[in-house]
Amino acid sequence: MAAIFNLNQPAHYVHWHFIDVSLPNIIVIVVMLVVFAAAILLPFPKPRESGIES
Amino acid sequence: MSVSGPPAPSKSWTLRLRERAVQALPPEKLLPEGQPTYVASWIYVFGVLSLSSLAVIILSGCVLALKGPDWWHFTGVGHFFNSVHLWSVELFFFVMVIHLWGKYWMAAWRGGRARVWITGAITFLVAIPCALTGYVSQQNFDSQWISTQAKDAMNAVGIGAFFNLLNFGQMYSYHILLLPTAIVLLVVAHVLLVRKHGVVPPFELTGRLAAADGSASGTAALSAPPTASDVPAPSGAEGGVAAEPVEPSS
Repeated sequence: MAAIFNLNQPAHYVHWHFIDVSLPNIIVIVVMLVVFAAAILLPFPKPRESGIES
Repeated sequence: MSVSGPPAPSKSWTLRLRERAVQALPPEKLLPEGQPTYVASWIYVFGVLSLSSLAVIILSGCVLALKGPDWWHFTGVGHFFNSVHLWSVELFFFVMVIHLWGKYWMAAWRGGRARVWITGAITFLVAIPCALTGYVSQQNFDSQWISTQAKDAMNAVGIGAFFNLLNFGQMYSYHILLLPTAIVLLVVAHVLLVRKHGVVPPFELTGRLAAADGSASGTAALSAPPTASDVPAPSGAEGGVAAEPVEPSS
């Protein structure tokens, strides 16, 4: 990752009214929202038949 | 005049404790062989993901505690375990927040599950200072910077007299003993309460359970996972949730 992004500098910050948040934190929050939506929308795999009657 | 029999022998405290424990959490609830079918959704996975990352945090933290700052700063293996500890914490918060969102939007405190919700929420709140004390225990310039900034924050909210974030010994004790112990105890209580009350059913299933149980005891039906007799004939699944009876896990 460090080869792709230059981490030897202060992070970019987004200022919007009273909100002051770094770009890495925004990315993490967006990824969390995407994972949350995917967890609700994506179908859960059905368990394989074990052949055991219970 | 009536004659009473001999007084019943008093039970020992261990017997009373055992009886209460088994009554509250019988073995079939403590270690069930299956889960309700509505648990077959990705959103229910984030609780156990939180537990898994917590296990990695504790194991990697034990290794770091055994070896000390010189090792985690100046050796390759030390760097590796330091990174494992950091990234498992990042993952822990990532999945725990999604778990929190999921449970919030499905109102997981329904059906007598208030204590399940409360222990989970307190665990999240205790995990934050546990992470903070970890950042200030790194023994480098990063921890120095964070501790001076956090010291100002503590003073600003009026609790600076109780915690000295520039005191490595105090912060390290909080980080590796007091706060992790609190988290583990809270998580154990949280999991046992989930076992006792069952995983909260989704809203659609809640309505069906209440309708099946009648208006008199509709709420009581929510206090335990549904069984085949609780659930009416399903009319289809919605949102990845099937209103079907309990099935054994594979």
